[in-house]
Order: sequence, then C-alpha cells, then structure tokens
Amino acid sequence: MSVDRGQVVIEGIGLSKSYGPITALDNVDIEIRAGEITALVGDNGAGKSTLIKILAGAVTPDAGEIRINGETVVLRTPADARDLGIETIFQDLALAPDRDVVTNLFLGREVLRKGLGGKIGMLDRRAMEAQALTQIDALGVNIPRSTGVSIGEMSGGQQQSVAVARGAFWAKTGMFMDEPTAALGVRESSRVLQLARQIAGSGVAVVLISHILPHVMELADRVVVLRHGQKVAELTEDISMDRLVTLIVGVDANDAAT
Amino acid sequence: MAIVAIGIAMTMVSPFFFQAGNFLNVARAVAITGIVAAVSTPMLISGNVDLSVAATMGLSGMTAGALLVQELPVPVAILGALVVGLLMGFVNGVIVVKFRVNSLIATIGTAFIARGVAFVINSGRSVFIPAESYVNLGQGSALGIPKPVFYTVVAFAVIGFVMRYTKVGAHIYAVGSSPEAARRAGISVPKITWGVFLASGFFSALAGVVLTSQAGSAFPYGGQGRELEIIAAVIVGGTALTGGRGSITGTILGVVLLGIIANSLNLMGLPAPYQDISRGLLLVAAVATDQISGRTLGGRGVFRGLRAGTEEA
Repeated sequence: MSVDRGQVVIEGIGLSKSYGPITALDNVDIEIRAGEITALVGDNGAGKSTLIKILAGAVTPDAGEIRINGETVVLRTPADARDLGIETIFQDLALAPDRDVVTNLFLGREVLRKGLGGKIGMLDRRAMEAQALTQIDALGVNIPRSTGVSIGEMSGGQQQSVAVARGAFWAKTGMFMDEPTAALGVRESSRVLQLARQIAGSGVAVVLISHILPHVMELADRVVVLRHGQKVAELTEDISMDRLVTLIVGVDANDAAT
Repeated sequence: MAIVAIGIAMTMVSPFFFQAGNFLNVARAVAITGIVAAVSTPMLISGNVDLSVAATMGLSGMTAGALLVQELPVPVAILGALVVGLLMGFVNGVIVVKFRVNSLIATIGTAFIARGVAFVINSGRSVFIPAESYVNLGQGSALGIPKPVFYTVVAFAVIGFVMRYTKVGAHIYAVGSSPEAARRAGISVPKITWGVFLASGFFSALAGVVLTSQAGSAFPYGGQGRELEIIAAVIVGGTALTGGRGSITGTILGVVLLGIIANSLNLMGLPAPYQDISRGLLLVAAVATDQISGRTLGGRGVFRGLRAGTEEA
C-alpha cells in the first residue's frame, strides 16, 4: 500500500439524496483517510446508512461528487465500488449459510484454474483454501480452520468474523462497517472491533457506523456526526460521551461546527 | 446404508436380485427418471423447483415424433425436441425471473400448457415412429449396457462436474443458500435462475427423446406423473427443497434406491400400488430423518453417513 496514513483516499463532496419528500442526506462533505477509523454517528434517520451506501455504490446520490484516490468516480453498483477496493460489511450477514468459509471468502470472486480448466470455469479450490487460511491466520480470527464446515453452523460472532475477514481480504482502499456488532455479544463485539483496528493498521480507511458510543470513543480516530441528513460536526479530539450525545440529539446546535 | 440393507434383504427373499442382469434391469428402469433427476438437483439447490419436466418430456417427444412422421431427418427431429425443451426453460425463466412468480406455481402452469399442446399436436393420438435410426438410439445395448443408461451416466457426469468443480456450480449453491448474499457478492441471481431453467428444459427434452426412441412411438401423455417421482428421488438423496444444500452423489443414490425398491417389490410379485406406497413411505421417512438429524447433528438426508467422505466441500 503506497498511501500514507492520514491521506484522504475516499472523498464525498456535496452529497445529497432524497426519497420522495424526505431528505435523507443534505449537501454532505466527507473525507475518509487511510489507516484511520472514521466513525459515523447520529440518530436513526440522520443519514449514516445513506451516506455509506452512496460511497459503497449501493445508492446513487441525487447530487454531489465522489473521489477515490483523488479521481472522480461514478459508482453505479456495489460492484463498481468493490472494483475500486471498497468493501462493505452489513449487520445482516451477506454470507451464504450453507457454504463453508473458503467458498464465502471468495463468493463472486472465485479463483479459477490456469489453462484449459479455467476456461471452462473450473475452480482452483486449492489456491482458494491456501489464501483463505493465510488470511484467517493473519487476522487471528477465531473460526474453524477446517474446510467443509458451513457458515450456518458457526456462532454469530464467528460468522461476523468471516464477513470481516472477507472484507479485509478484498478491501484495498476502504472498508465500511454498518453496525457490525449489532447482533453480537460483548466479547464477540470486542473481537470484531479489534479486527477493525487491525485492518485500519494495515493502511485501509475504515468507516464504522455504530450506535454504541463507548465503542466509538474507544476506537475512532475521527468522529463525524450527522443530524437530519446534515453533517453537524467532525471531531478528532475531546471526544466525550456528553459532547457526542449533545451533538447527536442537537440540544445545543450552535456549538456544533467545530 | 439403506441400499446395502435392502440389498441383503432382497437377496434373502429373491435369488434373482443379485444377478448382474437384474442390476441392468434396475439401471434401465431408472435411466429416464435419472436424466431429469440429475438436472432437478441444481434446480432444487438453486431454491427453485420445476414441475413442468414431465410435460416437457411429453411435448418434446411428440415434437420429435411429429417431425419424424413428416420424414424429416433424425438430427432435425432431435434438434426440434431440444429446442422445445429450451423454449420451455426460457418461458419458465421469464415467469420466475421477470414476473417474480414462485417457481412451483409457474411450472405447474407451464406443465398444463405443455401437456395440452402435446395432446393438440396429433389430436391426442400417439405417433408411431418410422425412423429406425431414431429408435436405435434408445433401444438395445452397447458394450452390454442398455443405451438409455449411457445418456443417464453422461447427464450425471456433466451436471455433477458443473456443480462440484466450477464457478457456475458454486454460484448455484450460493443463490439457493442466500439470494441476497449472492446478489451482494456480485452474482447475477436472474442469470443463474434462468440458466437452471434452460438446463432443466434441455435435459427434460433429452429424456423425452430417449423415452420415445425406447418406446418406438411418441405419446402425448409421455412421462406423465414422473415429476413427483423425480423430485422424490432428489429429496431422498438429501437435497434440500429450501435450496443451498444437496449433491449429485446423493441424487444418484436416491434414484438407485427408489429403483431398487421398485425392482424388489416386482421380484416379490407385489402389484404396482404397493410400489407407490413404499415410495411414499420412503420419501416421508427421508425428509423426516433430515428434519430430525438436521436439528441435532447438522445432518443432510438419509445418506449422511454414507456420503460423509464424499460430501461437496
């Protein structure tokens, strides 16, 4: 990875999105930096998920511009974003429960054999297994190393670890995590958040959406607060619970834009 | 396990059971069902079901028969039958993918239509097939093995290969396991769904060709009632009706097991209704076992133990 920590790799300029009469996102600028964890906080309906979905290619903005690694891009589908090295991890797992870890890690991006076998679509199962195990070991995630165990037979935390491992495996630029711990217990949550820190440490720009403010304060290098579709604050220091709550609910909106 | 147990029981009851000739009898009896069971496996794994397979057999057989009666060349007749099969698959795909109709309902509808058209073709009468080279395709043996069995083996080999070793197979499993996860992973769910319906139509038409060449004539009611037998064999083989799980190995065992039971009851001299009863009992037992073992052991069908080593990874 040639980008330096702190360099802006994903940029949204004047992003807006309305659903009928409802403004989900109103002229939001955001800069996401390599090697940092940027947390996105706000009340329900503040526009967090819409913003992430726009940057991940899942929602097309009504107005605004997206720049990745300095270049203006148009993201029509999540596949476009993935091709640019952006992965998204959802709270509802995007895994095939009847398939094993290796199959899920390479879902939609299977490695084919070389030569004639590859031309007729034959999978290189051995190569995928080797790469998957390397990735699992590198992240130190606690999931069964044996192949052939279907994802559905694992615990919720293990499943989310597989999803995170998959995101980390493919994310070259950014990894978006939308409430990654919503369905998890305390210990499983901390393991997943530790993974997020590790992935940021490798130079990837991590964006975390979370309702759980202690997690946000513990992990985030930068906190962006959204309210009613607008960006009301971006904090890098003095991130206290009181301050966050105030900004999120908007009790004192005037001291927001610091 | 079940096959071995039934085999031993049958040898005790009938000395004919364990003769090579009898095994060929079983193979010949299940050949046509086997071709369609092979393609119904990826269909079920993808989370869909095609109940129009038997009607497609009948319609494509009648198409071939009608073309042959017009003294068109045999390859043209076969091509005509296969095109009809692909057309059925295409139409089923349109209804399921574009109109988002549940595949069960969609294919019940198209089954009625196809069966009706099969009757209209020759005003409900069967067609005697004059072309000897056509009839030769399905009758007699080559290398001591009945010819229809060859086609079945090829169908199982091709589909088994695709499901186990290729990207398309992996995507079919993924779509059946979680369409949403597949979609998010960039897999085109419509393409995969359409693909399995086209394959289903194609292999059903192939079965229709084999059926009519074996019989030497085409019947508008050809294949009638076989769709349930076919799905039963696939399910007995451990493929989940809900999609995502199953294997061709399991389906081969399911087809063979149902064939052996029918054969055994024949050898014992029991009349046909008893075959239906035993088939029904086996299906219920297989699915019930799957439910119970699925909850406690993560099991998959009555053959879990037998297949443990060969299970699709």
